[in-house]
Amino acid sequence: MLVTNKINTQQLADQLADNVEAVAGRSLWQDAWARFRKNRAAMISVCVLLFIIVCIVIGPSIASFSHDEIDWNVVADPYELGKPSLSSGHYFGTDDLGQDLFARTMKGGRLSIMVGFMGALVAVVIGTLWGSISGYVGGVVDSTMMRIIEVLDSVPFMFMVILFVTLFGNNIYLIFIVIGMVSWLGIARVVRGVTFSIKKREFIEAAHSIGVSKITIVRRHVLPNVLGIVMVYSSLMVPGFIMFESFLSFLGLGVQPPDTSWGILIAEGAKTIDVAIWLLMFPSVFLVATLFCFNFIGDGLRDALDPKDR
Amino acid sequence: MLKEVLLSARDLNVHYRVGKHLLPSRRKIVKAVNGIDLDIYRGETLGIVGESGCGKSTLARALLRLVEPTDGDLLWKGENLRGFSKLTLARRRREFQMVFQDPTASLNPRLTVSECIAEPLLTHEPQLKRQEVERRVIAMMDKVGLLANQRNRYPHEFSGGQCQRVGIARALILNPDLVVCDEPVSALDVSIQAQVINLLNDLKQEMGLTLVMIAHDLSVVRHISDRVMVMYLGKPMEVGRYDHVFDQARHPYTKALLSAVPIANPRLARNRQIQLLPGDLPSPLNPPTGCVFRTRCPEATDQCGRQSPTKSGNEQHHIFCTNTQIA
Repeated sequence: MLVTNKINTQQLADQLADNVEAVAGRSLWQDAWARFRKNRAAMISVCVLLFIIVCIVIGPSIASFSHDEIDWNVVADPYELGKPSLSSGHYFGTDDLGQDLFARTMKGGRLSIMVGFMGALVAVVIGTLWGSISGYVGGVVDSTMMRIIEVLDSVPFMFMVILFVTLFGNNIYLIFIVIGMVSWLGIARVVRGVTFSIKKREFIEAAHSIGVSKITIVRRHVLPNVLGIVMVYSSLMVPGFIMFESFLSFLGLGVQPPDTSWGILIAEGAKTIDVAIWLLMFPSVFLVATLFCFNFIGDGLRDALDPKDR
Repeated sequence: MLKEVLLSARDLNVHYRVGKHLLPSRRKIVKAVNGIDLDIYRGETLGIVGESGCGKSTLARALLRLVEPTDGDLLWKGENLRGFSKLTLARRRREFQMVFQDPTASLNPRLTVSECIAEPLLTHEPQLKRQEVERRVIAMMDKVGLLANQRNRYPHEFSGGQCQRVGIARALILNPDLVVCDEPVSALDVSIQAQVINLLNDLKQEMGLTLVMIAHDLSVVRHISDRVMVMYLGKPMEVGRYDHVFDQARHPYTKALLSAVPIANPRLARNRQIQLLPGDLPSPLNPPTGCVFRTRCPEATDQCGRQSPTKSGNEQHHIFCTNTQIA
């Protein structure tokens, strides 16, 4: 019995050795994804966020009114006739001009979330490239690139916005440009720091000893290893951009009516809080839910990506 | 038979500046490698031993220009290695490769092992087709004793010994002439050390490699080397054929190192005199005058502080010592 078993085992071993069909490995990303999936708060946040995104994408087309359409039936007494109701088609009610709040919330959400994602995208692309090159090359290049960041960072932000608005007029793209200009500074610094520590790791020296070019080292060996931190950082940055757009709009420097954003809706709603609470409530719920989701997702990502740091 | 010199170093120096000072004369300098002369012959295994911090690793990196030497000449196959432009150097790196100390840290955690092993191929032979790269990676994994079906796994799924095999496969896939191993087994379990050392030895025979083996473990060096160099504080102490250095050590430092090697046989070990060296390695910021070893040398004389050691002995075995009675 034992002897036959031994032969069988040997055959099995030979078969295993000859089996060139590769076994799939489990990358660090897959590990992180598995940990992320176990994080309940983060997974719920992902679902809620997806729901909100679906809402704002299809919302304006299922609304009974368009976001800038005045419903003359309710203008006579908007606080009474414009209450939220399913029968009138104003699911979230109307504002004092008789505009449908449901349509406006969805429309405003598009802008708010777009600002958040655009800011994060610009920050990630420019910031990661800038930071990793600065950190990897080091020396004079590093000092110069960091000084440029410091100069940009020291320009008063509001002053820049006001200047741009007076020069080029009020324009939604201006917000993207301004947020883009400043958003990458922080992430570039973070990436530079991480790159510094990765640069000293042995696998970078190994790549160097093989004769891999600097660009390829940055692309193949540095960037994938800073990407985790970049993801965490950028997901935690998105709420900041949304808030910032709200703040600019609140000051009248951002989006102009009839276009809207959650920030504007909340600002308007705050004025009528005692007579029409729904004007404040619905946009706030969406904004707060979105901000919460991004924060939980960022937290979840951080826990998933560096399990040692918990 | 005249042996072909593959790589030779003449008066090689690597100095690091430590700290910053406005006056250049006040800046401190660490002489990590200080005037090393070395010839590496094709087909041999050269062992380099010494304590921690004596400059072994820096020497290894300087030989391959991973660290830029401060001074001295490097001749690679008769060409001036230090004169290579960056581009030429990158292209010629395929002829000399390195195996690193920490097997897991020397592999990028985001790449599969087959990507790690294929990297030299992709760098130096970008025209190769995917199937051809894969075929050569599989052949190389087979050579170093890794199962080829594990090629899509990631470094963290392997043990230290397996990772070191990956590192060796990566170094050898381009058929280099010279492989410098910087303490390739010091991070591994003892049982795995022997496997990896034997693997290196077998591959050396099979592929006609030249090895430079850096180690602080004398038994490792003894097992594999044809020639040995003993270093202390950035300087050579004794160089020669391994049997000469190990069995007829003449330099006091080599003798002390050899006497400190533990012996597994207790009966032999009991009657042994261990030559303990007093004190620690002096700071390389401020090395002793004359012979750098004199502060700990049991046979130091007044002469040793005044005069730098001179080379004595024959080509097969020479030492650097000021004391004329030893030299």
